[in-house]
Amino acid sequence: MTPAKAASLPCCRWLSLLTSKRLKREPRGGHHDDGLPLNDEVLLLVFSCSLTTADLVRCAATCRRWRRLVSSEAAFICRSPPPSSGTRLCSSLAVGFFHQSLGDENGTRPPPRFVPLDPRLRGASLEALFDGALLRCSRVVASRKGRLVLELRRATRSAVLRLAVCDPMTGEVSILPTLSSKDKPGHYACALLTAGDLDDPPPSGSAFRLLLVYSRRSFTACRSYSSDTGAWAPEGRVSGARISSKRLAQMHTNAAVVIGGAVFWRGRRVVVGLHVDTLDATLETLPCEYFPCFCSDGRPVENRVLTTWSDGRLCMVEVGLAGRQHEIIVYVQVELTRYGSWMESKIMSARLEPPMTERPSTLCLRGACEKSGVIFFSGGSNQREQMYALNLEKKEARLMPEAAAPDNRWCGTQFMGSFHAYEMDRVAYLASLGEGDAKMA
Amino acid sequence: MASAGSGDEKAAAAAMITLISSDNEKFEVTEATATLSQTIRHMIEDGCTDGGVPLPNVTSKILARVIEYCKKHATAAAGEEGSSSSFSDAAFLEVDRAFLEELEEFDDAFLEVDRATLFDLILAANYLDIKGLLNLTCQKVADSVKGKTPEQIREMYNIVNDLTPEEEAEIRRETQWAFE
Repeated sequence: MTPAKAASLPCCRWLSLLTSKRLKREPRGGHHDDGLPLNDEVLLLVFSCSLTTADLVRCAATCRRWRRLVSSEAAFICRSPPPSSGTRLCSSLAVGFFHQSLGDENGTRPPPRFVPLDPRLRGASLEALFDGALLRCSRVVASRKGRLVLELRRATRSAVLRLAVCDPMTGEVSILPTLSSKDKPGHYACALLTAGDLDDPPPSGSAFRLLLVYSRRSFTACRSYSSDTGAWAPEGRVSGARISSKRLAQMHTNAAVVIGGAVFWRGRRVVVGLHVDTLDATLETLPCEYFPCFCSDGRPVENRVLTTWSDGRLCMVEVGLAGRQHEIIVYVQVELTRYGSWMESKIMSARLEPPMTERPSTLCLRGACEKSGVIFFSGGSNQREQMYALNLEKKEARLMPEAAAPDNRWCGTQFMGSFHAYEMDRVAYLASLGEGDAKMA
Repeated sequence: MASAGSGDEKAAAAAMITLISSDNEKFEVTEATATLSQTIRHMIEDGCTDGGVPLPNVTSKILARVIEYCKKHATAAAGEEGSSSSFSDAAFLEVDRAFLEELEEFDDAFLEVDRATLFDLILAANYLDIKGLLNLTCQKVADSVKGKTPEQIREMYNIVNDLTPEEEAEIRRETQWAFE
């Protein structure tokens, strides 16, 4: 067991509520008499051949050896992405968003609510997890790679920052060591990195790193927590660019995107890049957007999200009104080269399914999922805004009927709370299918 | 396209290697064909191929098929080198495309084998470290389990189900979505 896991709470599954005790396993040996003349090494190559997550889950349910291989070698199996077959949107993946209301003055916050894309996941709730004393009143600050980063809050304002990372699919929660007094950052931006993001992959599929960027009196600082060591690494200095507290606050509200060992956040009219190994930062100014959202008392709100294009490059997406009820305009700028200019742009229209009942007057981007390519935006009139999930490859946006907004407002200053796009992480999920086995390695 | 190779390449291609199967059958192949196998390439580099390369894990039946694959793909590799040196030449690209299509057809036909042979080919490709053949054959197995239930997979590959009924029920409950 890693030190991080030692700090975990008792397992409480979110999706499936697995309550039975972990079953005893047969001792592992080199032998395999399941009737298949292929050794583990070769079988792993087969599993790595563009099988979907559902295929791999069914393989894991075939026999013990297959289950052990799928779960213990999930990181290896998922090196190459699942087949796209024309669309990255994988319906069998848990994709959706979390939103959390602000709560009242004395700091009590309701647990975040999950709104899934797939109706079969309706009813999936984090309430059981957030019922415990530890996570109650905690605030979701980020969501990436199937995990939520939570800020644990006490009723009184304390001079410490306590963070936790939780995987809602497996129910695993890791409480990170407290950052207190001089170690406590002010405004910070964070990014959660896992096996697929790092050049040297961590030993287990469920390992992660949490990167914090914050401002010191005379420099920009960065430190990272590793689930392998269970500790924060010493503070490092960010070079190349200075990131102000104000900018960090903007970055904090926007999800990080990780490409080729570098993390990218969007701030106001800027993209901040940070190379994880060298801590070299870049600031790239953005041109004015084409479609600002005027949802906020008539003042324009920056209305674009950073995500990855289907070929893995960084891209910036905007949506705009087409003046019709059944379609919107989507404007995508794809980065040509690393830290390069936003040269390659694509403009397209996307169908609204079903069309809006009246001509929309607001469209506001809320978040995006890097792996599945789903982009969430709200749209409608000032009285009633609804949430749509946009699939860029299908050029189609589907209404999420379950996503009733508080006070019917999803965007602008009317929407109180936080919004975090969520997508399940394949590696962590597959690894969770055989936890009992993994310990015996 | 083959004529695009330089004199040196021709000399290298002319060198012959003898492969000896587990049932003592001898196969003469060109070095270009044999070196598609990383295992044999290393043997050649180490200079221990005199008197033939014994392959105690591969039967003559399977070795003959593996060599058939390597011959075809060695020509393809030579063709690719030729075309990259004259990349601007549209005619070459055209020939190239036709050749790639032909190669694809060859691969498809090559995979028309029974399951036992497919497994033997995978094991031989793994032992001889022939990347292309290993990917091709593994993909064939992967394609066959796509969309299948655990029961169908077990039946297809004669896999003994050693999960207890409780374990099986547990997995099903945990992963209900993957079965719908």
